[in-house]
Amino acid sequence: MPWGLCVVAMSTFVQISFSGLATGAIFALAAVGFALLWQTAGAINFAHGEFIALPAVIMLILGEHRPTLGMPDWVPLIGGTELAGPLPEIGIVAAFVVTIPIAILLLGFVFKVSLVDRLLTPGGDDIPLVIATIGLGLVIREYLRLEFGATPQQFPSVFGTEVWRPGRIAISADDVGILVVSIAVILALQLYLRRTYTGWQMEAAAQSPNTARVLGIPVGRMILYTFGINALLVTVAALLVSPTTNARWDGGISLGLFAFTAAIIGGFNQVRGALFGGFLVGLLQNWSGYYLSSAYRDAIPLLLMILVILWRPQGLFGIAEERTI
Amino acid sequence: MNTIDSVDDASNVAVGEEVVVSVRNITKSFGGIRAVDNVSFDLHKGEILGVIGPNGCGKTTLFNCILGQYRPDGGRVELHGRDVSRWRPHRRAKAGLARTFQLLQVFESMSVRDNLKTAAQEHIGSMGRRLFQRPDMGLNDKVDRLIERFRLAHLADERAGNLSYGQQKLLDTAMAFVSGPAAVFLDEPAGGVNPAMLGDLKERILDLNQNDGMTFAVVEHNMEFIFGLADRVVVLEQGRLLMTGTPDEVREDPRVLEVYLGG
Amino acid sequence: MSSSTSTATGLGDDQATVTDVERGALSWRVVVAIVAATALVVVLPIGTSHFTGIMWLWALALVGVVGLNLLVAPDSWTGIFVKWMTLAGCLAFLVVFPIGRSDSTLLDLGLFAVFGIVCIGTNLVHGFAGKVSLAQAGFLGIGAYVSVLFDDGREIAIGGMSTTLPNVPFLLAIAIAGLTSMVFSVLIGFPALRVQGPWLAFVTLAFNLLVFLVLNNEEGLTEGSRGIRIPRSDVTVFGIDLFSSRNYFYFCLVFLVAATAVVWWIVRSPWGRAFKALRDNPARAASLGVDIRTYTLLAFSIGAGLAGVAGALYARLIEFVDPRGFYIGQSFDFFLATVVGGLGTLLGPFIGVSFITVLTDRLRIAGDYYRVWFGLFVVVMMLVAPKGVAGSFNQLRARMQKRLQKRHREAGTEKTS
Repeated sequence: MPWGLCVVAMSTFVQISFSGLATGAIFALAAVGFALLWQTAGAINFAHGEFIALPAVIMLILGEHRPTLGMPDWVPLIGGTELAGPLPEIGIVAAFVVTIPIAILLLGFVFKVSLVDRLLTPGGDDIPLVIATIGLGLVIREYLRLEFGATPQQFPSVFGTEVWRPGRIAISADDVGILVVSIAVILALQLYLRRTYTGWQMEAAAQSPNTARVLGIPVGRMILYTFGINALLVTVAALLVSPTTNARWDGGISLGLFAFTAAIIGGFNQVRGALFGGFLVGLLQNWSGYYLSSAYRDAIPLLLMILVILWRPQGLFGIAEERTI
Repeated sequence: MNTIDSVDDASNVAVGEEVVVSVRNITKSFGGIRAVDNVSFDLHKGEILGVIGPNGCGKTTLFNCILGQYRPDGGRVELHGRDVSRWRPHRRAKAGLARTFQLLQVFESMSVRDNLKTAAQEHIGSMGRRLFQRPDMGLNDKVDRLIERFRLAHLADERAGNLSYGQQKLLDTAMAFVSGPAAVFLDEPAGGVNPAMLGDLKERILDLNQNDGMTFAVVEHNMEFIFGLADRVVVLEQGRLLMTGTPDEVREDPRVLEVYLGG
Repeated sequence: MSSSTSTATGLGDDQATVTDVERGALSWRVVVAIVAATALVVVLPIGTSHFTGIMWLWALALVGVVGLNLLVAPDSWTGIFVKWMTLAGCLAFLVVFPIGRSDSTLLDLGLFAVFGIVCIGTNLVHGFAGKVSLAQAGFLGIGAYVSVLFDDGREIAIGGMSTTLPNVPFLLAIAIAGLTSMVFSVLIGFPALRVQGPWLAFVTLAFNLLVFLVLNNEEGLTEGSRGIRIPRSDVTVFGIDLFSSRNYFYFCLVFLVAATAVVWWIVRSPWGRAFKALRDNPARAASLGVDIRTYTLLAFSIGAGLAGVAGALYARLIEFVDPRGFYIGQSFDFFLATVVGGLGTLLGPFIGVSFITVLTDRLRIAGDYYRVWFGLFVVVMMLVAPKGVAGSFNQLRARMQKRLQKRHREAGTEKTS
């Protein structure tokens, strides 16, 4: 019966799309962070993926898996099996809360001050920073591989492993949780940027640093805050993505890749652009993976990125920038 | 102000002289703004044409349209009667249209000599043959002579990035000239140059014009510089051609004075 | 006016022409010193392993060679002799060192040669033409697989069609590999015309990934992730059997020298100036008649062709091809190695490629953490010495030469060296 087939096809489509949106939400978080750095500071961070992998490992260390990772005793165990009992989710959330300031310090402040400030000169080349961040990514990746082993580590999901089945569709609690949290975080970010004074200052600094300086906005400090926000976003992304992909030393490569694919496709000069880019990439991946070929699921977003760079470099949702000769 | 009239006026001033570059009805818009609006003029062989106007009047945009960096929305550019409107910049350069830029200048990592050789080499022979010729391509004498003329001999092997701004400007001008172009378009050559070197620069341009018959079109802000240099001046205002005439005529024209608000 | 040294941008780079009279006389003391030091560097390692006592003498001789290059004016007759002696010494070292080495050492050396060719290509594209390319591993892979497919007369199937490829002599397979890579590089070349810097990095990265995906998934073509075994036992070139590791290394060395010579020639020629113009100031270059489009495509295709040739050599070197060897991490390695060595210099690629090949096993101190240190080295290098090892050497030499010249002038004597 054609109707029956339709229903099956539709429900499969919905399921895949939902799952794609969930993946896309994580890409969106990563893409927004990446885009913010590029927009405000002109900093292109090729270690962005490793910036997600690192907090994931830190959360594991602080949370559940200290014994398996062989960390020394002085590293505090937060919410470990003793404290959390049968609920590993609490342990990992506690670890998440503690990891945030660590990430903001390391991936925000230290990164900015030691690398970005030194390598990015106004009117200069941005390639030295690209090179340095490729090197930095290498450092983090190899260090994680050697210190914490080459096998991917199980990462507990905050949302549990339940799966609901309305009709024929299977929706995992994890996916729902990811979507809810990501959207909440991004809405909070948008509210912050639009409604608070500091947020407005940050937007101004991002849109036009020189004008902002003239208006008395401390642009340097605003950029620092942006780095902090990026650190927060990658930590959230790490919390959300690791249950599915497991914490692994080389997870950063593909995450980073899709972060900037999404940012470029969507438009890196608008937060909204990176956001849509992330969701679009997630959807495209899942659709092409199911309907075309699972082997080439990554190819479609990549091809789209190349096309966007060539013909609409401001991204599908971005604003064209003035070019001066 | 009828544009066609002003072109006829200009032709009357330079009757009988060969037209090197003919600019007709160039229009260029960005978004909703008409940067250049139906501008036409002729550039005659051996003359120095000044192009002036207040900030934002479209001078540089006009040059970019003539030389190929921008594609105009309408109009045409002819070099010795050939329509070059669709040609890319490097092809126009090879045909004889040379220019300098306001901001972009020399090749910093190469020596002064190499800068000039690079500027000259693309006009000789084919790309394939260039690979197998001697590295200097027999250009040494020509380049050395030009270095002498521009008084850069003591810097000939110096890395161009190490030169002072004014020296780089001189090199930049020399590079535009080395290939023996039909016309040289200078975009704000006096910009950022200290007064001491300005005289040098003016001398070089006059030298090339009087001794080599080189044709120049010069966009400039610095009135004093232009009026001491140009045979004819074209005045732009908000993308439109306001008037054309000799420096004296322009200096006294009430419309020009109004546009500059006493400048 | 004595010769200026500020144009010195690397051994073998386009030097300003200096008349004979100004070059000064040949200093025999320096000549003897450089010949002795070079001879020591070349001869000492024969039959010895790495960290025995005699190695200190070797290191001292090496320092002597480097020091002489630093202190002697590069434009003088003595300077020219020192430069060529050093290059000859490097070559002699590469020829003599493999004698009596184990197979694993020879494999390392082979990797040095093969990856060196890739880095020479990267150096041309980035160091001289100013285009960032993170796709070299992709071209390496294309070259490797193409040579393997043709070399064996394999049957390939793609998209439902299948055909058997002819069995082709090894040299021809290498040529086809290089040409195929060049053809594919045009695919990258066209986007490269429209975008610069980091944008180009993203495009080339995406291209590399797409190549990897095809290599990994088209099992009919490439056997996918299983890889293809390709032993060297039946390969002969001009009657010389390439089965032995040492013979094969010398074979690769020939290509390395050829690649160096080709790129050196190009850089010295007017094309080299056009590339540098393209790198320094593309808009100005175009306004002076430099055909940006063609030169960009040329730079990319030569760089890719070199990587393709290297790929063919690589496949037979390790006697196995599999897609993982051509992933973006490998492109990052080539890129970082070339930068660390020194962009836009002659010896830069050799120094850089050592970091990702021969040095990786040798530095016992770093142990497994070698790559972490390498990454850190890259980061620190960008902060302190962004021109890389060879580039910083050249900067240092230029500064020293200026100081030496000033001192001689003040002392009232002409610098004769």
